[in-house]
Amino acid sequence: MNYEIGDYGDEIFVRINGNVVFDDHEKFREILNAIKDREPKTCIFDTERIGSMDSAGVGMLMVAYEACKTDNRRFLIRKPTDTIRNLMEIVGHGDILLSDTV
Amino acid sequence: MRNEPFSETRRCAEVDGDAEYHGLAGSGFELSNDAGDGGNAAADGGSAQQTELVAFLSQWLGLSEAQKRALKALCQEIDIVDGLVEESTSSIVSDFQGLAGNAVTQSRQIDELLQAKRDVLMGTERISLEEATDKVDQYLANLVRRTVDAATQSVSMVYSLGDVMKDVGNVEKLIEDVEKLNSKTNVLAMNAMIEAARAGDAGRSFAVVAREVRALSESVKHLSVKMHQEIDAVAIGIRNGHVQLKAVAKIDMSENLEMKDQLSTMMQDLIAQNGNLVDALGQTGALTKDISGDVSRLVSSIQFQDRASQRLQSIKETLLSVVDAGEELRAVADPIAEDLGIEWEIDETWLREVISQRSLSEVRERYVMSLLSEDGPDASIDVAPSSDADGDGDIELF
Repeated sequence: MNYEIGDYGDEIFVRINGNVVFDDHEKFREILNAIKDREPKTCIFDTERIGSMDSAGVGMLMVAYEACKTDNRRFLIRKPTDTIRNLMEIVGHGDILLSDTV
Repeated sequence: MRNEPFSETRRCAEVDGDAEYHGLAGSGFELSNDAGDGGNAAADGGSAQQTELVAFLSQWLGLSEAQKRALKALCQEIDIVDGLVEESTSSIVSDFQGLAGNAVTQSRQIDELLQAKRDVLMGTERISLEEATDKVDQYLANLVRRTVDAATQSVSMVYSLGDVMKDVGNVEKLIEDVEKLNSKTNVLAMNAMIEAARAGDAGRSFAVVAREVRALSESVKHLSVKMHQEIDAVAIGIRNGHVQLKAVAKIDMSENLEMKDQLSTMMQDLIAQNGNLVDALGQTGALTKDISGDVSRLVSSIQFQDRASQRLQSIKETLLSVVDAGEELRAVADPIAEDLGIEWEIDETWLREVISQRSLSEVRERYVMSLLSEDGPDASIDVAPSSDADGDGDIELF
């Protein structure tokens, strides 16, 4: 996994590329730290370029969601893959999915 | 009216004007010529007519006997046919009733099968397949939710453990600092002891303090080593926890979701198939009920046997009446024939013709027995069928 972060004032845009697995948790922690440092109002995770995800990958996204929720930030997922869309709908977070899909 | 055949004969005689019938009772059967002096020619004519009449009467008596036997044989055949129809009808009705019973049983079984097909047993509860599918879907969704929750908790735990590991590292650094300080303290204590020894008696009490400080330093060193060991154990525990969390959080969610989707599709397909099966069973059940109704109606229709039997008996009675009438006529005719010396024989030619026209060998045999031998079968009589050259009765095959 690798990532890019774009800072647009109150919004932070995170694009994740490649497979997201357990071993990527430290890199993902960097993303969480960056969000904490920059204190945006909205975080948008672009998942278009994500290959596969294990449950840890989904867990990381959910940790990011929980962290944003704790800090009163808006969390959105843009261009979700079918797997991410299904999962978010099943866990009851369909509202964080932006309409444009992969 | 039973004398009508004779009335017919008499009428013929009157028309010809040659002979006159003078009645049967009392004087017997006579033919007279009332032409007076009409001459020998007329007498010869009367004689010829008498001869013809005698021949006719002889022929009639033979035919009458043959017809009587034929009519009796017919009555016998009617009884046989009646019995055959009754037996066959009874057998058919019995078979159809069995069929109707089986159809009803089958219909009931289909109803039970239909009911069973609609429900499935889930635990101790009997629910519809649709409800079962919803429940399975809910279970799978719950499984996915719990997996995601577990993964989220695991990742949070990993991050917390990471923080703890950092803290442990900091503690290890602090312990190392303590160890460095302790080492310096130990060196200082050693130096103090040396200086105290040089000072002699004046430094004796200072030497005691220096030894105590050195002992304290040794204790701190032991404590520091123990803390190191404890911290290492904590670090090992954290790393082990990290590995275990990794195992928990490494579930392939795509596989899970795919399995859930496949199971949902499979269940939907199962519902559709079950629906088709229920429809087919319903149609089969309706068809079976129709069959049952048809068979019942068929059984009612087969009751024609009673009516057929009544009609056959009616025909038989009519035929017997004809036989009786013939016998009554014969009772009058036989004495006349005897008086006149008329000899007659049964009309066997006619009987053979009647028999030979019977194509069923079984019927033919009975006719032979009944017609040609009044007292029973006569093995010497052999009558070939009219159209069945080899006499094997092929026509019996209908």
